[in-house]
Amino acid sequence: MERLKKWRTHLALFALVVGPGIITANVDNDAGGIATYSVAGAKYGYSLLWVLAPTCFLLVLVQEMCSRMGVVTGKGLSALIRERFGLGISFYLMIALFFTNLGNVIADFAGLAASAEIFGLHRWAAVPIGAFLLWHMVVKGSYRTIEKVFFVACAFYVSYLVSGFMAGPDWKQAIHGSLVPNTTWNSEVLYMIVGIVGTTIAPWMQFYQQASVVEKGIPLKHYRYSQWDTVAGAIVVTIVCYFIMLACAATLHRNGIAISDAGDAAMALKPVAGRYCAGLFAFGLMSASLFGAAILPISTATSICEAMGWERGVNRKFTEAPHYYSLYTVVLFTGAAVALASSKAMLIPIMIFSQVVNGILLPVIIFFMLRITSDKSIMGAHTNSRWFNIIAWGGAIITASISILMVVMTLIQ
Amino acid sequence: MTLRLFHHIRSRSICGSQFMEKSQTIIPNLIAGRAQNKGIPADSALPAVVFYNLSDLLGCPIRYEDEARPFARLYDIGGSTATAYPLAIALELTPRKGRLHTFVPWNAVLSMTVTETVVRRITEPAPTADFWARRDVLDDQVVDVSGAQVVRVNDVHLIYSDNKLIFGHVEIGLRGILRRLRFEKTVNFLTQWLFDYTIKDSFVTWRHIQVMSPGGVPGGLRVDKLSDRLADIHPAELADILEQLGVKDRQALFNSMTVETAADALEEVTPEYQRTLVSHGEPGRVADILEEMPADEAAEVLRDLGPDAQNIISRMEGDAASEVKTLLSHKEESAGGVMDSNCIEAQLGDTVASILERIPKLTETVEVYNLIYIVDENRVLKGVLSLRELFRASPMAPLEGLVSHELITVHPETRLKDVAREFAKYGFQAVPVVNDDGVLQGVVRYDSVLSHLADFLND
Repeated sequence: MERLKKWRTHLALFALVVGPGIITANVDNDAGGIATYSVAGAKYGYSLLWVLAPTCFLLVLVQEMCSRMGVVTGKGLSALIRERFGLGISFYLMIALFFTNLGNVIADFAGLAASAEIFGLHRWAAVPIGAFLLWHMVVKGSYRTIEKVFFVACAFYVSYLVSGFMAGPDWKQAIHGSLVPNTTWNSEVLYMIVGIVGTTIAPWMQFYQQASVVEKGIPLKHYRYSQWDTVAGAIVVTIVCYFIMLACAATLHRNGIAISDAGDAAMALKPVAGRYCAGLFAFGLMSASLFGAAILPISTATSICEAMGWERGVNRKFTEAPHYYSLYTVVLFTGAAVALASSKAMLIPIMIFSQVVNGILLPVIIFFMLRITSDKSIMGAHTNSRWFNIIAWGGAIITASISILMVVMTLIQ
Repeated sequence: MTLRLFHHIRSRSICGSQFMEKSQTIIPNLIAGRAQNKGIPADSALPAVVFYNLSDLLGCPIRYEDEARPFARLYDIGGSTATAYPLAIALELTPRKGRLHTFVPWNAVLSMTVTETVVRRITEPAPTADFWARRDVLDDQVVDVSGAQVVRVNDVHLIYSDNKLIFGHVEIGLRGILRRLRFEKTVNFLTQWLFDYTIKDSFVTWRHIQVMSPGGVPGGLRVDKLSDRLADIHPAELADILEQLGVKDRQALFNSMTVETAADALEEVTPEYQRTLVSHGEPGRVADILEEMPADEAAEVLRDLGPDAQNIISRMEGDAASEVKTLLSHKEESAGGVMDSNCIEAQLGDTVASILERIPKLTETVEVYNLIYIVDENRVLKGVLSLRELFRASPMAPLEGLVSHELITVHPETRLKDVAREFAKYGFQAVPVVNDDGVLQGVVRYDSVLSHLADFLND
């Protein structure tokens, strides 16, 4: 009885802080992410599933630092970087963040267009309607309603789990592939692995999660529950990735069908896995794209305004926070317009550019994060412990070298 | 250059002129004399007034008077808040060799320009500064008391005159950002050429700013150093300020407020920030603050707190605690969850004079004082009477003729949306809450329903 009561207290407190970690992690599975996982599954079958567990660990490592900084300081990551490292660095960092986020938004609208067409809706209808709905929701809504909408949107990812099961994977092979890194190593496989890690840990996530932790006003003494939130988010996202790869491995890989993006995957699933499996896959893609296209512009505007000291926040009116809403509007509509106007071939160089910026930005941000989380004058008693620091620096160096590797490999290809 | 800058500042709006007015007392006669002689000869006997941007000074070489080679670079400038416009009292230096920063008292300085600063050799240790310009002000948030807002500092303007360095303004506008990024000239040229427009500076004079983390310690705010003008800020604006600060500064500011101000401000901040402020606060003080708030607002704060609420309720005074507990026992979105149990009750046997006599004393605790609720000995609601009727009636008139018996009441379980409909229909200021037996429980005020509904309002 006593134990039950204790658990109920824990759950009640968890319910108060849950959100930032799970939402951030789920948006991480946006159109670009789904594309990468689908291609990985289609091309390498079950053999790359093992990559997901270490990736999940790195994700927790990085995101935990963000939410800790948010809870301890009550400030966003870009504000902390500005205060600790000055205006110059923050400014160029924000420019890079702007472009890489814009690239992600373009990918999301392209994903929306592709999935809408699978359902027979023309892209020239789906993208403008989607963009306008998102814009309206943010400019006219309040943060509380939006968070609720996002939370519900997370549930749509279940469709990937269902489609994973419907694809009828070979579980024995799947488990083997998840535990044993039995991969034939060559540069293409390496590129794929780098891609998986790179899309899973993206710079905008650190800014977004920290900002939402701050916005939620999570008290320091409940930080523990915020950690659960981060871990839960990372696990959920990994499970979703796992099932996406599984679905593609069980069907496309077995039948030797090559794909290049998530829209392809949904189309290709139809003949081999059935209409419903493909439909669920496309539905997942559509909600993920909308979700990403909703959050990334918000995150971009928030981070930049915070670094520059401009008024920000969904809860303010347009006239109160003009910079914020202008940035938001520009990112959202530019993303939609570019995605609409470009053909698939034109999108490829844009995506490569965005990935390169992403890859350069991430190590820099992780380095700043480690410096800030080790700084006693900022973090007080909540600096990284020695062991955490050793693991974190190790993880950061791995993540950083992976991103740099990705940049180099992208540029060579 | 000096002169141009100077006129530039003089011609600026209120901030500038207030600043000038104040500086006259700091640098006697200097400014007035300067202003009259627009075309000052180079050999003027008056000491020169030079304006520096902190960002231009930082990193400049420092040398001893008897050496040609600089031995260090300027890292930071420490100020003393003893005067309204702080004076620089210490410098922090990055030596050419070694990594350990050294400190020099201001009285060692012989001259300062953006290209070099010359100091004497001095054994005297540097005094402890009240704040450091780079660490605590530049790129950090400060409170602009005159505008009641939190601003991020893009640059600091210093006045150098008579070998004194005075903190004058903080720059918070785009121009400061552009200057530090070295884009000022290019952007200015472009905006001039394209739109015939010059980006304006926006300054806040030092008298109106409150440095938040003095000594690099977030939350190191000392109450005795707090600007008096902070107390004049409206609670709604204080709430806005609280929301924009970091955790420690926010808490320090909140702790420095009187219980009354803190209660008013707490009422205005969003539920998320109410939660952090309350959870980080000392429970005894939080209980005092909540007692000061209307019970329904206090209950709302506690509701969002989850299991921690109990600890605070136990420290609240008996009456306030039981009232809050009653509210918490009802659902949030119901009449019972927001009702105010303090209302003026009277019985049919009372006289007009006796009620009128009681009212002034009650106004301290009762919010709804213009409606008097008539109950029987079991507190069953019988009728309602307005203050206006009471004033009009003769003191000895029987109540019976004045009371309205057509009652509109709500039940504790009535949903707030339905309560709001009653308000819209009848235009009350408050509606009585009665239970199944008709016993009066309290009243729902118009404003408590409004503040709940405001969450659903979009522009």
